[in-house]
Amino acid sequence: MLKKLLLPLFLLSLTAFFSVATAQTGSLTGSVIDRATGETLVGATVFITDLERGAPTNINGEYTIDNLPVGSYTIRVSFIGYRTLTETVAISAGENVYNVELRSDLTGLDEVVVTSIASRTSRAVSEVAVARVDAGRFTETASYQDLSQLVSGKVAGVNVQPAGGTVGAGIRFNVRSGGGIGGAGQPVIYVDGIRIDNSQLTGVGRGGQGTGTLADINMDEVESIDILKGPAAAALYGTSGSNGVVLITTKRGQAVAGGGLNVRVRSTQGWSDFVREDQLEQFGSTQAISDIFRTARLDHRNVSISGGSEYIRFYTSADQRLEEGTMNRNFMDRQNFRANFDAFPREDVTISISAGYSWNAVQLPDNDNNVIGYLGNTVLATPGVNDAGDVELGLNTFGFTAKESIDAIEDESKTTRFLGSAQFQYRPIENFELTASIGYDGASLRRDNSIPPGFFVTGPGTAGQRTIVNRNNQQYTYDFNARYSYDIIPGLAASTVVGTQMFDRTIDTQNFTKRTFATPLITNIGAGEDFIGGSEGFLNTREAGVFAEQSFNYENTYMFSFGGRQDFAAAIGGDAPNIFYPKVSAAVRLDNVANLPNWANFLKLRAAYGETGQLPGFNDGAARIWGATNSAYGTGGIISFVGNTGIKPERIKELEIGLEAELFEKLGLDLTYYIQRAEDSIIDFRQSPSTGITNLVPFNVGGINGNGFEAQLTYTPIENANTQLDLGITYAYQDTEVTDLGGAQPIFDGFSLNVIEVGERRSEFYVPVVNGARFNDDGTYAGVDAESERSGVGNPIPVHSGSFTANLRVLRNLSAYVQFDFAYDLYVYNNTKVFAILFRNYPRFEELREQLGIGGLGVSGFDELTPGTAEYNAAAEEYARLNTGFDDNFIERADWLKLRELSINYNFRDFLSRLGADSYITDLNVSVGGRNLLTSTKYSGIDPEVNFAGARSLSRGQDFLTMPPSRQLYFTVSLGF
Amino acid sequence: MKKLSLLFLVTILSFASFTACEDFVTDTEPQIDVIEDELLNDPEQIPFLITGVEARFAFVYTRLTVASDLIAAQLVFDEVMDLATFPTYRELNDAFAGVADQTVFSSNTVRGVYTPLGGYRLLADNLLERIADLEGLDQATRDRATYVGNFYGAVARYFIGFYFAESACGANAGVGSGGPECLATLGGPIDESAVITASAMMSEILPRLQAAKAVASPYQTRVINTLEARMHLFLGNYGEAFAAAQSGMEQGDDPFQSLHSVQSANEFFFAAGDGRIQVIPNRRFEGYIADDPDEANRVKLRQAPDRLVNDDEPRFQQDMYPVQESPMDFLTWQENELILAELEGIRGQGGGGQGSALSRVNNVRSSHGIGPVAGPVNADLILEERDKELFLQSVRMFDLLRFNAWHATIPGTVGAGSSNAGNPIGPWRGLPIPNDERNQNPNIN
Repeated sequence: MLKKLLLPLFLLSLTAFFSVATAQTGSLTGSVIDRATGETLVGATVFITDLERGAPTNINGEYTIDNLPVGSYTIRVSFIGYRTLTETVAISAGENVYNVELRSDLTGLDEVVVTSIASRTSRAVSEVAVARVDAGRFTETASYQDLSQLVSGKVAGVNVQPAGGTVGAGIRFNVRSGGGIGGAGQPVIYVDGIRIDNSQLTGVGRGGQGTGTLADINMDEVESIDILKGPAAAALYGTSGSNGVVLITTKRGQAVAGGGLNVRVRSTQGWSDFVREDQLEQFGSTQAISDIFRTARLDHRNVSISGGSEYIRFYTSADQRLEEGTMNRNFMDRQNFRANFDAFPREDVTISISAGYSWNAVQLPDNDNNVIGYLGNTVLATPGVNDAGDVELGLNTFGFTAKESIDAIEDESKTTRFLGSAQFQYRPIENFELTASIGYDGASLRRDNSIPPGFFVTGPGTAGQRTIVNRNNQQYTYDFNARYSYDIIPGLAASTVVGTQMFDRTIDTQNFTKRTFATPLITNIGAGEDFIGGSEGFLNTREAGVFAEQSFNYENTYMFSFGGRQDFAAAIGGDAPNIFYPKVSAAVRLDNVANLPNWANFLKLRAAYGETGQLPGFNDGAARIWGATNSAYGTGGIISFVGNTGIKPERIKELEIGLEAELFEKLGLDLTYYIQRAEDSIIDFRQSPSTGITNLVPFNVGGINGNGFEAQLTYTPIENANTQLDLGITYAYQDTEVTDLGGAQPIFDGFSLNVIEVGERRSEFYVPVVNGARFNDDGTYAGVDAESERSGVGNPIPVHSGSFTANLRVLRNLSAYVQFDFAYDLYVYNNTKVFAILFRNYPRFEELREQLGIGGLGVSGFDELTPGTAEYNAAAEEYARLNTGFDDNFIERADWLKLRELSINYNFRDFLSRLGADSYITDLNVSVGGRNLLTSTKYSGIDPEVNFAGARSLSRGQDFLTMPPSRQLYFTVSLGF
Repeated sequence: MKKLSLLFLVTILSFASFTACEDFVTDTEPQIDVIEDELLNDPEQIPFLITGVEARFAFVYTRLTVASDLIAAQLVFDEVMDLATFPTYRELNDAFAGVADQTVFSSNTVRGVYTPLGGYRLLADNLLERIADLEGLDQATRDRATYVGNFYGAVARYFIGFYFAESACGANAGVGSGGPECLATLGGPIDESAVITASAMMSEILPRLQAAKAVASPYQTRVINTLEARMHLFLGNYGEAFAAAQSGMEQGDDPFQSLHSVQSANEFFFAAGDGRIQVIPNRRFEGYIADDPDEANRVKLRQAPDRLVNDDEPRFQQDMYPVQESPMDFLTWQENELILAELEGIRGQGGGGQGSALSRVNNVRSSHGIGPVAGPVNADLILEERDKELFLQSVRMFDLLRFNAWHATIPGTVGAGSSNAGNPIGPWRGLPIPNDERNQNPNIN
């Protein structure tokens, strides 16, 4: 039997041997270069899709693929930043040469971007508007304090408003028209799959400013930032994704030929100054205000090492940023360490580990609505009698608190934070991918506020006071999803994604205040004699969702997706246990189906619809809960909150349509129009206090509409080996209208200025309009002529915003980047001016009082005018407009244009090469630059980019003794080894 | 087939997690700072609720006193004080002169009294409702809860009915005017009712005080009687006032006070004390002491730090409540004595006449080591004695109205800051019911 089998097997083997030995093969070799510059492209991928074989280009930009059967194949050549080339190549026996010229992907169409919770596609086939900031490109030559500085002006529809100019303070994102009414209006932020804490931490003192937790994140570790701007794209992120999703991807290692390392060292030295001195001249105490500012230092150092092989890659970095604010007691010392690993133990398994640790110490000064702030004590300065015996405005500075006392206060927040994630990807069969990940954001903050004894401060007097705050925030993000990609029919590809996502957050806080310290030398809070207060809080919240998405792509021409997410959250009321969010999107590549002129290289239309939500407050779904109050009688029970068991998330629906085009291979255009509709918005109804219910009770009765237009234009008129000019325009228009409050009264901020009111825009300034002055019969000034009812007079969120950018490279290695940001149709309430007037520290106000004969201080030398004359009437009109009893007088148009960034960079790579040093030093960059270099604004205050109440409150666009942004100049050297 | 099976399996697993999600989100650790209402239906928790009512009384009373004594010009928002910056204090100081209604009704200082007052009233009523059906509650605790719920519920209604007003006293209340006719307009709502005037509110108050008396100690009964006497006096019910006062607090009785601690501070510390001096005593109180230094024993003042005064002349801050823990007198035997003196001396009650009235006035003065006055006991004397004796105890407002003695001009230092001092006083003679109530309550305009 065995012999019978052996013979045929032998013959079969022999046949196979000869068939292989006699088959003809060839090799494919060639080079890959930049079409415009002729530079070789090192690391470009040449891939034969039919055979699933390929090779990278070597250091000379050359590649070789051997042993290719003779035939005709589809070849794909790709390289980051270049347009992928796909062509058919015939392989004959022997050597075949195929040289490739790739053209720059100037408009980013080949860039792979995040389009949904578990989807990445090239921009060319994306069905939703996507935005990406290539952080690595910017951080190479400039130093950014935080995410807001990096993103500002770079993404249409994402406007970043800082609360002020203090280093380490909070920021506020305005994404599109802001989603719903509820919540803080902030996007959800992920770093390498970890949903991170984006809180602003407030507490004692500071007058409203808080510490921004985003300040812990080092932008030098970031490779890219993808932003999904609204529910149309973010639906599968579920509840809380209504204001968009920011996805930060940190840098990762790349395989280096020969197992070498990439080492980069960078140092930035900088200086910040307050430069809007001219704006101080409106006050009587100009010099005193000016004196509180200082030249501040920036010292930023970074070293990174990366590398890897076929099986493992790594990136690690250490970073320290020491940055002073231009006001005393403002300082940040941030240290970041990161280690990212990617392992490929098998062809079908990828394991990615991301770990980032930060230690951040931030000192913030008191300011804003505060009697122990520097600005408060210099702007709110009363008149006095000077040495010459004359009344002088603004003479009595530091009337509330002596400067020595303010200087002596210490307020420091130290945060240790760990961001870690582990992702496991398994591809058990072709085109099927399972991904599981867990992310952790753990932060421990310790804040110390110390007022040493011996210094008089309102509150503790000279007894001294110390407050300590501990806050531990831990949040876990769990993701599991499965993706299967398959062809339904030739040309029609499909992809199915199902998954779950869970989020668990626990915050516990403790604070403790004691007063009366015998000596400033012992600061142990136990040494304080008087207990003032102590408290702790604990909150555990959870969210979870199940999602699915089905996508179709017909020959990269017609794209269509639909999906949905069922969401659950601990904060939803008992009668509304979960909520469903659908999404659907489609796109068509018109350049593939229509007969377009040659200069129209690419044209895509897209439309997407999605829904997300905004969670209620954690206790909103409770019926009635009680808390404890301390008193001299003991601890007693009080009704803490009356809620609504039927409460559910606010639902935000968004429809966006867009057009993307590439023309003349140089001009990129991305236009998007969106409509947002919020329903079931949670309106907190004030109950009549006579009912005894003292809190606002939530109901799902509100609604707000938003719409907007976004445009991003890129143009590269010049591109060659020595010179390149990239121009960019980013523009966004947004508008909102509150449509329903369910019959509730207008919802005001604490200063009764910003309103949520039917028919008005979100946060509209809503005050009685001032018409001018009233006059008595004899022509004398009689007071202010104002409307009795309130109306909308302006909005603190810019209606139009955007930026202009230009990146010019000349002489091959010398480049300059400039960015102008602008905001148009923007209003700011100048409460600083109000109080300067109230404290008689506003010379113009005194001049007018003297001219009108109504009690000036006699400091201006102006003569009294005659009632009835044009001069008198003009003075009266101006005086009426300075009446502090009417808020309308101080709500100012505050459009601004800022030279936000300017940097000049020289790359010494060629120089090193000529010296023969490039085998030791692979890269040398030297940059000089600056931020906030010039400001042009209609606003009469110090700076329009401020908000006294920090970055989260309902108060918006209110300038009240707030630290203005500073100008920063810096010098950067970076070396690569 | 293998592919499809795998896909099917993953799909099944994903949707199996659907129900797990709901369990996941509801399985959170409990909060540590709040509890649900039904957990308090427990005899063990009643003392906790009783303390809550008492605590809320103190919280409201101290804030109410700052506001009412400011509008009644015992306190002055004097802008020579560097730390005097709150516009809402200025508005109260000016009796809302020249201020639009929308601003009047959105005063944060008034809201800061009115809103917790409503909550305080509800706590007292809730305590009574909760113990009504609660089983297993021992009698002593039940009696204490009954007393606290009724007495403090009555006090809350006194505050609501006597201190607030729906409108300024008359269309042009006139400058410098405002007497008994304004007193009759005072009142407030309960549970979204129409305004219940002070006199009508008595039908809410008196039954509760009677219920409290049923379980009260003799001292507590005398305190209740003095409170009744005060209210009747304000309303001009002199007979009822006299009857109540005769059974009111007696010499030697401890004052009935609101108690405060660092964590539930006396509001005067932050509005008129070392915490921050925004308001200071009217300068006539300096005059009282200048005229008779012994008056410093009851009108307690302290010179404010020079660094906080933007004027050559010194200013004085109140020293009645020097620290956060300072208790505040709410009812005293001295007030009861002055009520009787007024009723006997100028209201024709009882048979004691001038002699008894003068004796009572001097008895009160003597309790502070202040020499006697010669009399006669007339309106001026009573007004001044009450001004001194009841300094910063929230009754001045009613005395100004009863004696038609409201000040004509805005108090303060003329020319200081943006002060309106010296200009005609505004039209409000009580604390305006805020917009929070007006906008929700269909029975209030």
